[in-house]
Amino acid sequence: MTDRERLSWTTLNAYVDGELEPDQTAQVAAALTHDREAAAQVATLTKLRATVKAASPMPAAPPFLLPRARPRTGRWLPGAAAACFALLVGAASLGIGHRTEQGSSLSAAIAAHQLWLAQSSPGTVPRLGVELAGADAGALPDLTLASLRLVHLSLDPAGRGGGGMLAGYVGPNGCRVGLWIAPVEAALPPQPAVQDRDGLAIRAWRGERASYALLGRGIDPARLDGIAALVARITRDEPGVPREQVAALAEARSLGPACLG
Amino acid sequence: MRLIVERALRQNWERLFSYALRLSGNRDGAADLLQSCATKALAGSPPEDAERIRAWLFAILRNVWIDEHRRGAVSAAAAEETLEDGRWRHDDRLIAAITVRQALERLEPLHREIVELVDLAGFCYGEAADILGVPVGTVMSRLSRARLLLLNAIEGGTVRPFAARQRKRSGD
Repeated sequence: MTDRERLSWTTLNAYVDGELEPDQTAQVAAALTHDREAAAQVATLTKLRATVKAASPMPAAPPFLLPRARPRTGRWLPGAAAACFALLVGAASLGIGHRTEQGSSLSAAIAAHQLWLAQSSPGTVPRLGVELAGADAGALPDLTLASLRLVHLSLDPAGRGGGGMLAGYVGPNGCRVGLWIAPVEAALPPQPAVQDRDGLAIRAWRGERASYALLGRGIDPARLDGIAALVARITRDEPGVPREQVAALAEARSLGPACLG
Repeated sequence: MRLIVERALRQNWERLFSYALRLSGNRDGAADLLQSCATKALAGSPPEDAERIRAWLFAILRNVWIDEHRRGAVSAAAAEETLEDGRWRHDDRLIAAITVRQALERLEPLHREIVELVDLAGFCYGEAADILGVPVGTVMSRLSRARLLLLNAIEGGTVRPFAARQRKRSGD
């Protein structure tokens, strides 16, 4: 390597920042002793760094104030969610809505989700006048681990085979994810499986007491997979959530692009 | 876990706000960014290595900003030009607080950001690379280019690679 390469502008910047390996630092230091031009650049960079710090006082930040936990709007709300859930589970346990075809249920789920998406902003117009602002509500899964907050609930009791319920969650950037809960469908797999259609990313599966479909528009598939795994775990009443699952959710949230819904 | 994140937020509150201000360009936007960052951080899972929590917070803040502004990688890539690696002369007497402050304001956001992270927030190249989601080599070239542009702005556009200047003179 020539001195010219050794003393490139980029290398001199790294030298001034103390980012070179020890042997490279020594080589640069030695080369600087007989290159006045490069030595002058180091002096300039050193002065520039110091002056940038001095010229950029820390701006006055707003007071340290952490986001507050969202207040519950009423004690009846968790009860309403629990009642809806119980209605569905009750119908399923009585065999009213045990189905073998998944198409009709997913169609109902998609219709409910698209109706919610059509609303101007997440959770502004409830389908059946049931609106939630709490982070947990009765039997519905708490998805705060996935940065999702429950804001919407719509019930479709008139649907074929017992209908279903859509729980709407919203992320910190307004991303909307719907969880459709309906009577058990034998045709669905026991683990979340890809059922994308109608422009929606969908993961559907069946549990012991109900079947589930998680829906999102434009959401990162890895993030939806992570959320589906979390919901499946919660609805199976499995204790705790493994650290690697939490880490995967955080990684999908931070690396993936924001969703469109 | 929440206590660890809360403590890290409190310790870095002002510097995070400074970075948010650099990204958003106004105080209201910066305050909103900071709150969104705190919300995400408190709901997230911090790295086990305590030394990485600070960079993790900055990365969250930056991701929130990208999510909100849909800033594509294309614009960032377009601004990554190859640095002309010539020699140049610079009058160090021009480097003063007021000229540097004015020059910083004239830098493109991409270059202001790397100066903010390395020179002001004090992150090493590796940490800055993690925050920006780019290789360390990109941090090196982006920072060295930012500083050259800064010097250029301080001198009112007269900083040129020395060799190029000599060529120009010989052509006169």
